[in-house]
Amino acid sequence: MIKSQTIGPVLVLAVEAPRLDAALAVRFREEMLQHLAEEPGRVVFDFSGVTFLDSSGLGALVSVVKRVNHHCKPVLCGLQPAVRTMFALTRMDKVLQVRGTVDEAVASLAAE
Amino acid sequence: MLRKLRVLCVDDSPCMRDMLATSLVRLGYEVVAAGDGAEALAALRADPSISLVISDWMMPGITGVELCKRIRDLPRPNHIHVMLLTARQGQENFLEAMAAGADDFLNKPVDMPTLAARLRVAERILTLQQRMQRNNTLLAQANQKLRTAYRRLQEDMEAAARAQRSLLPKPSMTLGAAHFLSSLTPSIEISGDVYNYQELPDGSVGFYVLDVAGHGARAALLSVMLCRLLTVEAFVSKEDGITPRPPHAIVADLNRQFQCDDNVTDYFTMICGVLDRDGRTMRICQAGHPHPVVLPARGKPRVVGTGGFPVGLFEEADYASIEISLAPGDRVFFYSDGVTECASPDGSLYGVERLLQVLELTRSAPLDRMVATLQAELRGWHQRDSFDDDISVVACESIATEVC
Repeated sequence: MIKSQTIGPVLVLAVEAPRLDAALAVRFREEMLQHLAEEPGRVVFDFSGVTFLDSSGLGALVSVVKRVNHHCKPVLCGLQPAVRTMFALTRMDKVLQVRGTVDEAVASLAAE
Repeated sequence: MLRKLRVLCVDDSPCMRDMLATSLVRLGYEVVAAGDGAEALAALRADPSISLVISDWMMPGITGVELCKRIRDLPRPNHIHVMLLTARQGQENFLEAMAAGADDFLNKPVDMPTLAARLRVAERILTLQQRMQRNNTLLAQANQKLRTAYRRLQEDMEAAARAQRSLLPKPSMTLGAAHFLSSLTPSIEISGDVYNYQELPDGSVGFYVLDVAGHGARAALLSVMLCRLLTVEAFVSKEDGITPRPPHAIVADLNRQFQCDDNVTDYFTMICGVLDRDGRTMRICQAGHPHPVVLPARGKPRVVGTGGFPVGLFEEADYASIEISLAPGDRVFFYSDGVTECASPDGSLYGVERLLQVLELTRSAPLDRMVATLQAELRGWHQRDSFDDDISVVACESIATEVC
């Protein structure tokens, strides 16, 4: 479900689950935490492969962000319209760092 | 082999029987002897630990083949390995013997190395069978346990669902200066939608709609607990016990109480509101719950609210209330994401636009008709009998009050 690649100093985790809902939330969280086990300092979550996120999916995402927040502040990118709407409704866009594309997200981290 | 194998040796000739028995004992087996078929069957009935039979084929009375048949008819849980002794190869009807249940054949006179080898094969087969049988028993036990646990779980779920439903208010109520109408369409799996509306001491109405994230008993239990907490007392000032509290203060309290840890994310979205006593001003705090729709008596429906943090996700979340002014006949419609996220067979979501259309079309119908129409619409959209998520709606209509 998660595809990982390194761009310069940044670890990019692409979520490939068109419907990130209750059925996938637990697996999503586990796989993300596995990829983040080595505590990388700069991480991008690429959500361009997610067209729908429900409340369980959102819960899993927040739980991942909280778990890693002592070593990195993940930057999210590629939010699709439904996910963007969900983020606006729940104000996630105020607490999570969101950028447009992977390149923009990587650039924002590389500049740090 | 863990235990010494117990072999039943059947032959009408005492001499042959003794010779075979001696050979078997020498090979390390325990031997039980029988002079004919009837004795053999009696021995088998008396001693369930016999797992191997070596029998002569040609015997007066019950023949070896007939004995095979009768052994197979014995009510024994474990398999008995049967070897028949043949005088001369080729003359007996082997097919008939195998059909009767014979496992192996030995030529007479019995050659010791061959007997030893055949017995090792028999032991191997019996060991495998025993192991399989043991595993089957364990599986059957495990299966039974699972079935019991599953039934208990189902009963618990049903009890939880009943508890949850019993906490809901009457579907249609006139409170203060407003009429409230609600409905909950439960999903296949128990979920966490609850709502309530109750009159406060000063004549205003406190209400909430709430959706716990996820499904199952966890979600249901949390929703029941929240239902119990959000009483009239939670809506009024602690100082005088009368003045309604601002909705965002109530939500902020819940957010402090229900912070989830990093491992589990039990959080919920809600709208908490107070409608004042004359039904003209509604204050609401929107905490991650879908935007309410205001339906003026005249004019187009409009979506209100600017979103807000769900409850329980972030300790530092701040909440605010917004104010909605209402004229008599104006309606406000609240709903859970089960409405907008209701999926058609091809996966398209029902969405806000369709909801607004239905609400506009049914604007002049009574509240219950409006809600019933929406439910019918959603069923048509989903095209399945049961929904994947709870669908809860609460509609409120301000009514004209006599001013004395």
